[in-house]
Amino acid sequence: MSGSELAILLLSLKVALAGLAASLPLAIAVAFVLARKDFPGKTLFDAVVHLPLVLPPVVVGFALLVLFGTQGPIGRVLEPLGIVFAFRWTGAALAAAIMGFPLLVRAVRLAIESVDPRLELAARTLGASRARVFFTVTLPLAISGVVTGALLAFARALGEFGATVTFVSNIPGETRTLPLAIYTATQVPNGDAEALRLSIVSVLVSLVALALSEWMVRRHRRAAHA
Amino acid sequence: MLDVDVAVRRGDFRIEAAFASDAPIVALFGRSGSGKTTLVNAIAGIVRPERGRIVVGDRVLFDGARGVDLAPEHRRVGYVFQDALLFPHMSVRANLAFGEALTPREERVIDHERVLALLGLQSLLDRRPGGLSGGERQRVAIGRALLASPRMLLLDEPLASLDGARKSEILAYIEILRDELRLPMVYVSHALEEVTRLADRVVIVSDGKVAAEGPAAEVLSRPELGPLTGRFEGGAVIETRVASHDPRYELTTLTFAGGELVVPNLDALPGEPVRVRIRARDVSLALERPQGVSIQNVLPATVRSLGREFGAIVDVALDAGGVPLRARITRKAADQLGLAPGMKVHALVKAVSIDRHSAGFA
Amino acid sequence: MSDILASFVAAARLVTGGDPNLWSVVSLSLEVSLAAAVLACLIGLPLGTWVGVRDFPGRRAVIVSLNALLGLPSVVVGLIVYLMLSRAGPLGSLGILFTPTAIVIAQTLLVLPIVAAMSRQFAEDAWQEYREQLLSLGVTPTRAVPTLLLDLRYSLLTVVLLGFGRAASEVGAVMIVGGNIDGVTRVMTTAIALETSKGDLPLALGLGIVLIVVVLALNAAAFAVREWSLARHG
Repeated sequence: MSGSELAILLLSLKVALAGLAASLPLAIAVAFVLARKDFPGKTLFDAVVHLPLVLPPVVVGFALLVLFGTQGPIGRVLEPLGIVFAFRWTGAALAAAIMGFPLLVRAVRLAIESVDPRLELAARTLGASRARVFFTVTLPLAISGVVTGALLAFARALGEFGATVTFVSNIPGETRTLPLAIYTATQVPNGDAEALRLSIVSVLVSLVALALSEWMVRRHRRAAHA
Repeated sequence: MLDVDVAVRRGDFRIEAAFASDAPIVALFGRSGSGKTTLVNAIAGIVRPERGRIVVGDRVLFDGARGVDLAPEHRRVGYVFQDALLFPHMSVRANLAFGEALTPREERVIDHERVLALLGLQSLLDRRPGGLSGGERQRVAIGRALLASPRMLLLDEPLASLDGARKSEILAYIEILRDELRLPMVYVSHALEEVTRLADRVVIVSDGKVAAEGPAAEVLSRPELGPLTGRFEGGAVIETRVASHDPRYELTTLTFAGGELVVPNLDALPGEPVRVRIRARDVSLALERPQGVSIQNVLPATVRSLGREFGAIVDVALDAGGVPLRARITRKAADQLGLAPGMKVHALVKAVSIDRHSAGFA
Repeated sequence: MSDILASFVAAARLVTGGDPNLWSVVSLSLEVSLAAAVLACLIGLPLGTWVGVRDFPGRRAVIVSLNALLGLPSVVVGLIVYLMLSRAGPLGSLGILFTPTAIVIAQTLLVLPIVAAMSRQFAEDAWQEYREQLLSLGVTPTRAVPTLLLDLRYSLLTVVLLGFGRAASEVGAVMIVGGNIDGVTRVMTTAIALETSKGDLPLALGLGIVLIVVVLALNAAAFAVREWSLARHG
């Protein structure tokens, strides 16, 4: 694998990890609200959270462009603060984060729902505030779901194409993640070999992530039955 | 100490209860589904009453009229649940420390080492809840609740998921706690034996209402409450005191206002008060003191009334030296003996019918 | 902001005005996606159902292959098809690279594992329910497949609809095997990607609106079918 290919891999990893790190706290919060709270409009909220899963990636990318582009309502506010998404790797990270968000929320929500709510009540009778209960009881018991969700979102981010190419286009070294690089390679003469190499790398990384998440699920299941 | 006057709604079910107690242990007694657990949940702050007032000691935990509703974490009311609810991801040591760590140092009135010793927890400290037996889990749960230095301890059917031997073991621990720690407790149960043994004061809950409340011996002896408590069998609960032990035959003699009772060996010191339940079906009647019969306990008594006659059985209410007793005999026998109110008879109680399970130590 | 508003208005006009450019792209998209969905279901529905109810030698291998296909990034699937169909590849002599047929193949391969996985789930659940009855009537698992397919027709219709939606949403693989050639292999998704990079917002926006409507309509239809079948059959 050549130096430029390694750079592409590192960019992809950077984008996926950054997107994951940024979306994780919000995803956990959303998952908690969906798992434990009831409020008017909950179904609608749930549907909105799942939108990136339902909508075509190009549509999501386009929406991001409209909102976060330099002319967009949010982009225009963030630019003077030094936060720019358009045509930058940060934009690719944002696209990856949004596409993986529903997967993350789903896995975490499932894990939180499997925590016996009476354990949380027991903790409160012992003097723990709601926040403390969440961090010392709920979250630790749901951690395997968090990890599974993170791995799934990470794998999804690595394969993300449509939203990325539409939002931040295909700028080498900045937004050309693995999937975009594979596509680019097929457009140049004699690029097939490189495309193949990049694909193998991409598949390997995804496989590792998926295998890890499978292993976590199985380990959690075994622990639950112990 | 504890003053409750609330109405709580749970789905279609509504429970209204008002009772007060200064006793070391007050029992909420009644059938499953009668609303007992909902009441303690309201005391703990897990469930919000529709209206009313809950006061523990000098603290108002809930006052609907004034908008006071302390969060559970501020109530300092400990709760031992039916299935322990230990935190599975923490060791026993961490479980025990959970509430203790959250209690400000100056409020920690319970001695850590003493609780460990009282409940025999030292050997369990490094184990995980998953590997403990039911009895061990319950002991840890009690310890965990105690170490948070609560002002009052709620126990919701803590023995329900345990087998016979474990039940007695934990019951003994609870008695020790009551005597050693002087911590007021609210004990919820549908098991008569447990309530008889532990409670000084009993509140009978039925169908969302308080059917009766008062001292244990009195409330548990009232026949009209029989059906309300489900598995209740007619009988009497009397307060006695240990007079002596017979080491040769391993018997204990108890004295009370109506005379003496000989029972199989009870683990209590002379002079100790013991509450004893005598089932009506274990009491036979004789017009004269019988000779050459195996029954050890012959108590002179007066017939107060003849109860409802249903089928072949009749309930006879007796008075033995001022203490009420009940006898359940056939209608034929009642007629044969010519029983009538005011008659003097002898109540015969087999010693073996009064065992450890029927006795409670105050 | 007024820029975007102006684009919106222009886009709406393209859509409602029947702009031939826009609508030719839309009709091509719907054609290939429908073909891919139908193909994927013809193979995937019976396959998934059969795998769900019957144990046969090689079952494990089939399940693993399907899961692998499911987990592959779509561009990789596109690349594989591309390599197969390119002049240097095994099927190169067919000359179907950069034609709508290639797009159909790529989309089918992407939708197939989803269809198979979903129908397998439905079949497994249904088999659990009806297993005893069917076995007592002497119906073998293999023969049960048509019966289950009929009984599950509403759930399976849902699968078809969702498969269609997935096919219509694909862009990466389609770009690679189709080449996004104007008038030949330009579908809604690839056109949107192209037009936004060219900066031509109204067309991209118009296509985007149509695409959203199509996908949401498919999801709504799938939802409605499910609700209706639940109401009717419980």
